[in-house]
Amino acid sequence: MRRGFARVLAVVLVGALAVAAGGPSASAHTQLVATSPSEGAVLTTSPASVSATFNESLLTTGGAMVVLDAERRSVGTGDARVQRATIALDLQPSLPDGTYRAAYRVISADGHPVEGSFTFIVGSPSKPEVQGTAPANAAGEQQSPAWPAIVLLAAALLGAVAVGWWVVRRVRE
Amino acid sequence: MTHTSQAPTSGSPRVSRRGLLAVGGAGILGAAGGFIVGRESAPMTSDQPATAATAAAPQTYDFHGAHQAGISTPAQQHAAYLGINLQERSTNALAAVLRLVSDDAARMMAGKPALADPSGMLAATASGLTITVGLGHRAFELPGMQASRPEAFAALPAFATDAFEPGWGDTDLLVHIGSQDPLVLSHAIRVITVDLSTLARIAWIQQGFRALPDPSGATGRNLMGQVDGTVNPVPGTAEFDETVWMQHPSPAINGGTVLILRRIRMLLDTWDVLDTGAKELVIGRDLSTGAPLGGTSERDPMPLAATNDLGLPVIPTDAHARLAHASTPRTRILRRPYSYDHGMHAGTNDVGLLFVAYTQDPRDSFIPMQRRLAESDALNRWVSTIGSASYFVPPGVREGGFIGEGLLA
Repeated sequence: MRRGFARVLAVVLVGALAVAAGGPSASAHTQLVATSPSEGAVLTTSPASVSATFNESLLTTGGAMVVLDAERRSVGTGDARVQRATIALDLQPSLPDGTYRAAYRVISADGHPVEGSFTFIVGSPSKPEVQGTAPANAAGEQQSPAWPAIVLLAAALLGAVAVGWWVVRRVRE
Repeated sequence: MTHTSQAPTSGSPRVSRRGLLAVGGAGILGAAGGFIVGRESAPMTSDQPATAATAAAPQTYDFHGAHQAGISTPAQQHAAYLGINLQERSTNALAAVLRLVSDDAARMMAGKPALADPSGMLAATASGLTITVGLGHRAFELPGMQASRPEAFAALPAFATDAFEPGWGDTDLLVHIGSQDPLVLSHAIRVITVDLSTLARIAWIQQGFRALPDPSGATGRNLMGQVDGTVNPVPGTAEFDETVWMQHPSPAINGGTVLILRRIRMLLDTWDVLDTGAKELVIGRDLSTGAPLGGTSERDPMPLAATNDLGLPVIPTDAHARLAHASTPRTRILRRPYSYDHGMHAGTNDVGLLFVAYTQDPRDSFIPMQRRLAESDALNRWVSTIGSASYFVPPGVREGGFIGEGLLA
């Protein structure tokens, strides 16, 4: 009886681990920690640069950053710089008032590409306003929180254990 | 059980029949398919025994012709590059070596043993054997040879990423041997090294291998997993001729080419830490299809100017494929690389790529390309160029002649 339960539990656990390892959420541990300016910030003066900082260090290769105004014109200067966990880009001086979107793509030191964006406003927003949140790009990794996946996985695991327990009982009885 | 044991025996003859049909069909049509571009003197006929490998390429290539074999002919499964230095640094010694190697090559490529070969039976199956000879920078420094140096055979400058280890550098001569059969290759190496033993010293031998040809015609992959040689010109086209062969008033140079051989160690342990998406950003291509990022199939043009919704370049600015990109035949190279794997040493895999490139003038093509790569290629982190040598590969010769003859006159 006990051995049967342990066997079912082991099978379910191994299965759950395999799903977790192969699933798209496996590399979600490279997380954006902060941006400068912060998402949605309204600035009174034009920033000299933008940056995005992550929870682990980045490769100095493969990084890219671009800042677009509401008409999708690039307002950055020079190349993006990667230092430790931060990618940064200098901006043209005295940006006119409006909404800007900074986009980044980095490869974390442990080999995961991350792509995303944030917006900020200099003075007052552009009209019409550019979209506040960026669509996640296919090439990059979505910056969505991992907890819904974890809850789902836990629920599935519990369900599977319960079913397994029930099956073992039925067979034994 | 019975199903699985039957599968291999019934499967393999089917493959070779299809291969033979392909050879026959291509011959009738005279199409410029990859495997009939060579100057094969004995194309396969249906009563010859066939395996998948031999069906894809002719058994023998003619040593004689306008160009040396082993460049426009299909790359065999196995290759060796022998760096050779003369014992006596004179044009007489150089001529003796060139004569000897040419004689050995002409015989063995025809499936005949070299003179006094004690194991001549090993030469009976050439298995697509080609033997190609090049002269190094050191050969043109010999007394009486300076005036013969082709202008386009320029020395390679130092590149920022060079990490040369001793023993893989320039030599007087290069002998490149290729065959479908590693046994034939080994025997040909032995014949040539023994024949040259009183005249020359072998500085190094670099051996490599390739994957079996993909039936779909997809480009072969290297050990990093990427397709290698996608943008190669196709033999038999004007573009190929313009990329590879020198045009020169001197018949000793016209129809020759420059061969660049670089030994590139791959740091696979750290490369394999990257997930597929990251590798694709570094290379600039989809790993499974070989298509450029933003494209759908391997030979799609590179969308170099494309940006995504966020304004980020679809192909990163430091992607390998972007920086290696060249837009005209004369600025391109013919890539004919081989992988190498010498097992494990001091706990690290000794694996990599024999980067082999041909160009009519490296100053137009390889040198500017390599400068771009050395400066900013994202791939540099996972590769290390540990050896480099370059050679002038003279044009082919008529029967009775020897390679490089015109340079010595």
